[in-house]
Amino acid sequence: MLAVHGLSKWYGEHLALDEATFDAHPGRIVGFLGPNGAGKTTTMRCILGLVKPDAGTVTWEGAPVTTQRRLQFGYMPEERGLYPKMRIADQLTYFGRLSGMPSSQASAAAAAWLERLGLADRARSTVEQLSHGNKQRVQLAASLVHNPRLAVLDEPFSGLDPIGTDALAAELRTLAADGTTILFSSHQLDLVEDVCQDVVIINRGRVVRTGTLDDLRAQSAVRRLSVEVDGRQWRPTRVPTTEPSPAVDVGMGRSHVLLAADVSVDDVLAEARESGSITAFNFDPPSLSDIFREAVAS
Amino acid sequence: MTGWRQVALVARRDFVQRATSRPFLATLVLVVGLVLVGGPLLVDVTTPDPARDVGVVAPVDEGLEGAVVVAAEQVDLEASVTEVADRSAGEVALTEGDLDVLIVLEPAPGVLVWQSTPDTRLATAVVQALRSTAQAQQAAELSLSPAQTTALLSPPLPGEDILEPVDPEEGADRAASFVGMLLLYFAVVLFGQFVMLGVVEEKSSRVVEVVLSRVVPYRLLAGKVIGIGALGVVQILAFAVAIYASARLSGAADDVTLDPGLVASILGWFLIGFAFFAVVYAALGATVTRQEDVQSVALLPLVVVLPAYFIAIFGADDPDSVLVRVTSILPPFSPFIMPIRAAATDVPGWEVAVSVVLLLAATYGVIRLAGRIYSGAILSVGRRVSLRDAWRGSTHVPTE
Repeated sequence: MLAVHGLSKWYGEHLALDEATFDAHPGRIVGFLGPNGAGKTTTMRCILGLVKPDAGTVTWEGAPVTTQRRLQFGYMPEERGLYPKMRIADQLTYFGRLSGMPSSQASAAAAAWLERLGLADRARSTVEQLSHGNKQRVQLAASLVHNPRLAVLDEPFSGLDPIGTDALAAELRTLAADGTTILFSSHQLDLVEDVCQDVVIINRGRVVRTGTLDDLRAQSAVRRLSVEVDGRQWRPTRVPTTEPSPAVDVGMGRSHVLLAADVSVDDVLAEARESGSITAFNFDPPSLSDIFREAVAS
Repeated sequence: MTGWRQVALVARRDFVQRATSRPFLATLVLVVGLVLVGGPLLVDVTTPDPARDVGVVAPVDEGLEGAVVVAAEQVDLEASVTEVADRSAGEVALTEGDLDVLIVLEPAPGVLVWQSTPDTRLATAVVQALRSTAQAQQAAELSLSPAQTTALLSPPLPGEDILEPVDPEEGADRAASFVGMLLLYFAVVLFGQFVMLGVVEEKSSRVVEVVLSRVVPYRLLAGKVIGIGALGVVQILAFAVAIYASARLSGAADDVTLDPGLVASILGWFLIGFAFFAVVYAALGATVTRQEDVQSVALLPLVVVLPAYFIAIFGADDPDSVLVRVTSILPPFSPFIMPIRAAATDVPGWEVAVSVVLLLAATYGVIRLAGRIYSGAILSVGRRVSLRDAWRGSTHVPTE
């Protein structure tokens, strides 16, 4: 288990991390969410030892993370980068060996990853000869070639087309099924909702929500209401509502409003009946986007 | 997995990737080829041909021919004497380049005929030969005994006592030390910058974060310095061997013998001196992100290297001056100046020992210092990081 406890980091006058605390468990895919500048990358860099925190600890399986133990981690930084003029098979082998694999094992792992990503015939190509999508694939392989037990992936889905996104999501599920702990950040909340089981939301350096997706939904103070009366959009007037932003409001051609979780569904239903014949009525737990907005706003 | 294995992996990658790149191989082959082919050619062109053709209008006195050859040898010339029928035939041969000088003995006292500018060495030899032949004839006419002739013509000369004889190998020692100093200078200026560019490339391609998630900064730094530095040393040694081979091939170094101990000490100074500056360049490289900022930083080490270079050049003539004595002990000037001073004069053993110890200590210090600056600056992007910020931002937590 990865345990991040009380992590704080100052950059000059700016507090980038403010006692951030959360856990990530084996075999679980953890979505690490937060607005830009919330402290996601700094947290990941602290886990990887790239940034020294001013306070707090990172432990792995109950013990502090040493240089040696850190070799069990795989990291994909947000700033992508590989050696442009090095052959991709050589490059993956090199990263495998740097993580402690013997030479033969590293080259076998590199070949296996290239096969898995459909790049076996490009093994002798240099990185600069690859397309953007293929570079992304090799980047992922570079962080996972040594079969890490913890994968820390900073924005792994950014820049991928829908097919690439599906393929990466499938890879993450396979890794988690093998027992790997996965912590990844993303701004694509629909995607995170599909892929991850656990969520950590960070805002202004503080962890504001952490838990399983189901728990967070249940604990949320809002519910999502979507009603059609006589085939037209309808919204209640007697209970307080939150206006959702139009950008996320286009799903299924039906608008929704957010209500407090303790609102009586019967009261809303009664008001709707007074307006006409109800053709659709949904009263759901909030989406991850709703939870995110709620967490970041509070 | 030991840290040294990671250092070796980083060094190997940097060495192999560069050594197998086309620009590197092309440069190496071109320069070594030029030295091997061009060196002997240059020696051939610039070394004057000692052969001289001397024409004598018939009849040739046998004694004169021998005397010309002997006198020419004394001025390092190889004369061959040819008989010509008369002066006009001799002048034709001079014009066509078959003769270098024409000796016309009749009417006495005779004349030396040249095509244009007289060759002073050849003239000296010929005049000497004519004089000794004439003296021998006079002696014969006076009926002097061979002993009397010798006493008259070759009186015994005083011997020589030299109070401070010059070591015949000193010239070679000085030249070798000077070449070693020049090689160090070029290695620092050229390959030191290669180390820096290697660091900047890794930063600008952003791969450094992937590497640093596996390797702590000072090990990456050490690996890069060793890998790129070793490549620089290999290249410099290839050039040095090519220059030596070229000198042997052309015969220019036939009289030169090098003391293996001296070569080893020059190599030792070169390696420590280069290591010191390569580490400095790597740390400076970590503070820049963009290639265009490289030049401004690359000039910083020259503040030390250029004075060291000039003190070494002028110090060869005045090895006992205070400036040379102090800078030959003080790092980082010492690797430039001590070998030059040691070749020019006797340096007490303890001064050499102190100098080596100080340089090793300074190199260790700069590795630690550079490791910290490197780790504080390597992940920065955008503007240049000041050395102070890099020092403060150091991430390295020794958690072995």
